[in-house]
Amino acid sequence: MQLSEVYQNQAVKELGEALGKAIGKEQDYASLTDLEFAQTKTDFADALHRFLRRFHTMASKKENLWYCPSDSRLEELMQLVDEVAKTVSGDDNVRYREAIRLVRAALISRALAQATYLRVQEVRQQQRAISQQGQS
Amino acid sequence: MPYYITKTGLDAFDTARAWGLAVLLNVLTEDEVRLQDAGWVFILEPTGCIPNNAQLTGLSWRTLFTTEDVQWRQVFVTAGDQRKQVREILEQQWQKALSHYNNSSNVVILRLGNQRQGQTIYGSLDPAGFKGLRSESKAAYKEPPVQVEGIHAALAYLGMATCGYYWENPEGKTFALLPIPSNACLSYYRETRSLLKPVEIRRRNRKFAAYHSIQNAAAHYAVQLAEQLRRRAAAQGSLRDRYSAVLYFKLFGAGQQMKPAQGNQLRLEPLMDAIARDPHGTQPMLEWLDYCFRLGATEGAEDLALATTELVMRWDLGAYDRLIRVAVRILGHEQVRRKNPRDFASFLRRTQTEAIQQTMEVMPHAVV
Repeated sequence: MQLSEVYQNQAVKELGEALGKAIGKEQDYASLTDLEFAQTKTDFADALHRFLRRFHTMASKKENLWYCPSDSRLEELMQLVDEVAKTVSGDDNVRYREAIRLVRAALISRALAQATYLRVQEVRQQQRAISQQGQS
Repeated sequence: MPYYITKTGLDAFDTARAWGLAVLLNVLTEDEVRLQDAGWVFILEPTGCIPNNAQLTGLSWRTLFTTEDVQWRQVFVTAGDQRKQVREILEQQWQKALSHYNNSSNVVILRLGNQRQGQTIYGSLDPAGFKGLRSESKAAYKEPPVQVEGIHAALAYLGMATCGYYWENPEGKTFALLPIPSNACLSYYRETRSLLKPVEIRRRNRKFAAYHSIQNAAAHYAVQLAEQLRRRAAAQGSLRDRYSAVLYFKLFGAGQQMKPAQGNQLRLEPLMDAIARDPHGTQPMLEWLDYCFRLGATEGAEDLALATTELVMRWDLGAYDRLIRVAVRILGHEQVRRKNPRDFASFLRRTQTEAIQQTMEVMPHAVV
C-alpha cells in the first residue's frame, strides 16, 4: 500500500488534523513523542488513546468547540494498520513495525499541514490586529 | 552530424567534455546542440551546420574567456589560471577535435605520468582523476597525475567552467557541482549557465556556511535545478530537457594547494519523473523543499536541512518520516523563528497539503 493512499484515509485525516491542532495550538509535542516511540500495534493504539484523551480535555476548554474524532475512527485506523501489515512480508513484528511506520508517517503529515495552517492563520490575525491598532 | 564522447570512467571529466564540446559546437554553428546520454557514450547533435570558413574569433567565443560569469579561476584553483592555454589549444585544434569526436569508435587515452605533451586532469575538474597512489610504491612516495591529450582536457575545462558550478564556502572550502545531461539542449551557453546556476543562500553572518555539507549543497542544487526545469516544462507543455544526476565533490585547502575530497552523484530521476508527470502540480513540493533548505541554513534548524538532504538523496519512507518529524518540531522553535523570520514565514506558507502529497508521490519506495 502506498503512503499517498494511506494519507487519503478518513481516519488518518481526522486523527491527523486533531494532532495538528494539538501541536499547532497547544504545543502538544508529548503526544507526538508518544506516537514516535510506538513499535507494536498495542503501543500504537495506547499512544493514540492517550492522545485522544488529552485532545478531549483540550477541546473542552476551548470557546470555539473543536471537532473531536470519535473512538470508532481509532478503530478504523487500527484496521488500516492491519490491512497495511497484510501487504508486508516477514514475521508479525516486522510487518506491524513497518505498517505502523507508514500509518504514522501519514498521520504526522496530516498533522504538519494542519499545524502550519493554524500558525499561518495566527500570524495573519496578529498582523491584522497590528494594522488595526495603527489605523486607530 | 553527430559527435560522440566515449566515456572513460572518470565521470566528471566525461560530462565536462560533453558540455565543452556542446559549447564549442554551439559557438561554431550558432545554433542549438542536443546532448544525449546513451550509456557508454554522450551523443551530441548540432541542429545547424559548421560553415566552411568557421573560425573561433567571434564575440561569443571571446566573451567565454573574459566574462566573470564563467568560472575559470575556480576550475584552475589547484594549479593557477590556465584559460589562455585552453583558448589557444581550442583555437588551434578544434578541427582535429571535431574529426576525432565525429568517429563513433573514438578513444581517449588516460596516462599516468608527467609528460610534456599531456595535459593534467586537475583535482578541481575530476576528483577521481586526481593524483594518488594507484600502484605499489616501495621505494618512493610518488604520485603521478592522470594526463590526457591537451585538446580533450581543454574541452573538459571549457565544459566545467561554463556548465559546472563552484560555490566558495566562507570556511575556505569549495563545493563543485556538475549536472549530467540525460537528454538536454544547449541553445546558448549563457542561457544554459543561467539555468544551471543556483541561487545561493545568503547569510547575514558570513562566518557561518549556508550549507552544512557538500551533500546538502548538492541536494539544494538538485531542487533548484528541478524547479527551473519545471518552469520550462510548464511553459512548453512537457519536459524536454532531462538531467540524470548531479555530480558533486568538495575541495578543501591543504597547505598551499586545494585538494579534492568526498564526492558522489545525486540521482535526479525521481524529480524528473515527477515533473514529467505533472509540471504544474510539482510546484508546491519544490517550493516547500527549497524553503526547507533555506530555513535549514539557520542556526538551530540544521536538522531540517539534513533531513531534507536525506530525502532528496534517497526518496524513501525512512527519510520522509524523519523530515516530517523534524518539520513538525521546527514549528515550535521560537529561536529559529526569531533568527530567520522571513524564511520561517515562507516555510509556513509553503507547508501545504498539496506539497506534502506531491512529495509522497515522488517516492517510489514509500510502499510497504
